Amino acid sequence: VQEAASDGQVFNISQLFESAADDRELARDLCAQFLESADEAWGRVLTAIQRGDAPAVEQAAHSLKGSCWVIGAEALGAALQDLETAAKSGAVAALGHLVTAADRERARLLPRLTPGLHEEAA
Amino acid sequence: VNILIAEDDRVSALVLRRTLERAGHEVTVATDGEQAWAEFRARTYRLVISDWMMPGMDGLDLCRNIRESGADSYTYIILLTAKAQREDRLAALDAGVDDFLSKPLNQADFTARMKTAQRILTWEMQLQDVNETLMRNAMELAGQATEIDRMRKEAEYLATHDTLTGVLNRRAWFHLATDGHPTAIAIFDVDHFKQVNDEFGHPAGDNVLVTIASRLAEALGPTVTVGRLGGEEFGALFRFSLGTATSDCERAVAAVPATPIALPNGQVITVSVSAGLSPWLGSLKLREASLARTYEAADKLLYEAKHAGRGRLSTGSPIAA
Repeated sequence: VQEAASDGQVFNISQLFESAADDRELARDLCAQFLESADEAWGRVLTAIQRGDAPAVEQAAHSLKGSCWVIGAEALGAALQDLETAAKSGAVAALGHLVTAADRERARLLPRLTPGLHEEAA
Repeated sequence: VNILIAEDDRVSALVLRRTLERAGHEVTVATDGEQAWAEFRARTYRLVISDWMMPGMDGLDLCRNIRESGADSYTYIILLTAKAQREDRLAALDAGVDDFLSKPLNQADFTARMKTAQRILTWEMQLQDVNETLMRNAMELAGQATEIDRMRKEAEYLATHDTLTGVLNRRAWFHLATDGHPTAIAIFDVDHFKQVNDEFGHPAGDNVLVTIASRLAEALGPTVTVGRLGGEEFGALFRFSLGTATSDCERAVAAVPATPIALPNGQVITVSVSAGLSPWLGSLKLREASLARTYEAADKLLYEAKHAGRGRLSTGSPIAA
């Protein structure tokens, strides 16, 4: 059982501002872009797993992980890194617990970005 | 700088695009390798920033394609990667990558890498400018060399040819007569040429000289060297036997009056030439003295032809000369 990530790991706002070079408008836009594309990206991960397509899982997890790192979603990024690494080894059938972990971090992250995004980023 | 970003992760692409646009660059974003490659082929990009892992064509394949494209100017390529393994970096460098940027993007790192890229691109552009200037100068020099060569040939032609008739001038003809080892020389003189000038004017006289030079050259053939020795006098250098030279001269003397000459004023006249032909006289070594002797003999024979009624050839032996 994995240890739950800290709040700071769920959403490291310092990393968001580092990525945005302290530009608040850009920080907000990055979060908005993440929210706009994260569901679709996560859907690609799940579809690839259902198809048993290890390279596609690796690619989809890698792409979403990149977004996570930019906005400071460290816990979800780490979970996706685990998925990517496991998919690279070809073990798609054994990814269930990693998908659960990633989904859990995703569920913890999204509320942090959605309602309080503007206030937090500001 | 015109920059192409190849990045399938929209959030990473947004950071790059906004950061670069803020710095004044023109940015195009492609969401995968194939789209980036199509974009690159459609337009010239001086800087490409590409993710390594992308669906379809990955960053390394994109880089290889760019390097193999044979573009006129250099494209600086920065690869975005989380891969830190030495062999991964070596593979990327081998594919033609110039620099790396780690994910997530660190602004200070990014700024430094961009400065490096711009410095190299500036050098490359300056080098390209210098090359273009050198190419322009080289082409200009080549053009000047061609013009100088043309002028040299023209000057050489003018120095050796008679400007009116186009045959050799006196100086060039005597030079060839001295050094060219002729077997015989002939002198042709237009009969009653003064009357042509007096009656029809000098332009008509020039027209007659041009026509006669042409008829002599044609009748004597390419092995015989014809020159204008002055006024209405032409010389011919022969390289074969006296018998051949004699028949050549007879043909030329007959050819000149065979066809009437049309003058600029529309009148038509018939003109004849007299000729004296002498074989080479004297030593093969003392060329100048021998030429003077042969020329004098041919000249005497020419006047014999004149006295005998004009429009004919007079030949002589060394003894007779």
